[in-house]
Amino acid sequence: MKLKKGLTALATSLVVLSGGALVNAGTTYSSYQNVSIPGNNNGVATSSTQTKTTTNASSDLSVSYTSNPNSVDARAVGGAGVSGAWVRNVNTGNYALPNPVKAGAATEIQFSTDLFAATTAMTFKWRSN
Amino acid sequence: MINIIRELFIQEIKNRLDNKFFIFLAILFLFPYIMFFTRHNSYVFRDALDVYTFMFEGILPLIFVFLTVIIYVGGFSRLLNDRFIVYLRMRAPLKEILISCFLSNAFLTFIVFFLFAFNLFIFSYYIEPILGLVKYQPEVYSLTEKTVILDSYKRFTFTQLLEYGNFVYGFTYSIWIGINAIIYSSLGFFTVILFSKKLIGISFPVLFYIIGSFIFGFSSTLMPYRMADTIFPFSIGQQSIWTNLTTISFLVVINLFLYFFTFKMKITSLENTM
Repeated sequence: MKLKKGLTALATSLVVLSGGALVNAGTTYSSYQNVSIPGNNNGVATSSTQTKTTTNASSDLSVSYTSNPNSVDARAVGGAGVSGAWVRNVNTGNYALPNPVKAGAATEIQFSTDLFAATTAMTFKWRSN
Repeated sequence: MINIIRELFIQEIKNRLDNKFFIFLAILFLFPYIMFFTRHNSYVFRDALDVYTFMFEGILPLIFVFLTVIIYVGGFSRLLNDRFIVYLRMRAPLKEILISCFLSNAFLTFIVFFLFAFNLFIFSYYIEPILGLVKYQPEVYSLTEKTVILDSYKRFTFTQLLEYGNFVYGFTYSIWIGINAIIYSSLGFFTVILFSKKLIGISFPVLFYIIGSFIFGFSSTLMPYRMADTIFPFSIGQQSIWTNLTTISFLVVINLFLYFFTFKMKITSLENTM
């Protein structure tokens, strides 16, 4: 009986925790990610995907490393062609990317190099909010 | 000799200021504005410097040298092909003609590109803020209205000069663009004389610039000296201004070498063929 109760409590807490994690997915920073953005041809790379918590809330991007300063622009994108404005010259530091994606929808960050930029490696974490 | 060169120089400038030249000028000067007005809503700007550098983005760094060459050297190569210089030689020695053409090229390309960069500076720093087309959002970059000023000093090469005032930066950078226009168009001027196929002569500085920029991009050592970044230093971290002067000095040495080769050696064979 005790075992059954214990299992039920464990299952309940797991559901609560996972549910909580889903709700907070957009407000918790991702782990650090590495991307390599191809250069010389307006190359593009994307971050991991998150679920938006609040419609129109800007997304936080924290960059800890970039191999080529001033080479990369970044913006938030969602499905169906929804995207925020490009933030130019993303270097090490913190950014609040405009993100018009609706709450509950999937969103990610898109990085793009300038025309003459070399391939750029970047390490960052982010949260969609 | 100086009088002949001055007379030919003035004549050459007058000849070039035709309808075609002004149409080219209108397209060149309007192009960044068209790009700005159609794209500025898709970007976040911190300050006027962001607006100014935005005007130089896109295809311009790619076609810059081509534009400097077609202002004068394209027409000059036609003069050589048309043997128009044979007619001019009845009035002056070949050396004086070529020197006056060289000076006309330098003058026109400098004026056009200085004004090109300077009018964009005036628009970005003094006109656009009055029109209020762009809402500056330094907070997106974790900056405030105060810290964005300090940030601008360290943003790109030459923006160190913003510490001495916006005008010092805008004026100096516009002169820089003009000087680079002279250097690349001069390369084309000499190679058009040197190569018997004029198209190769015109293409030389363009290919030198584009291929050189891509090759330098593969080496982290050469990267700061890349031709495209030297002229438009907006896709690279801030460098010392001396770094950019190193690249330009290298190009000046190439030009001097071509000058001596053209005016001391090639001119003799040209005099014999014309």
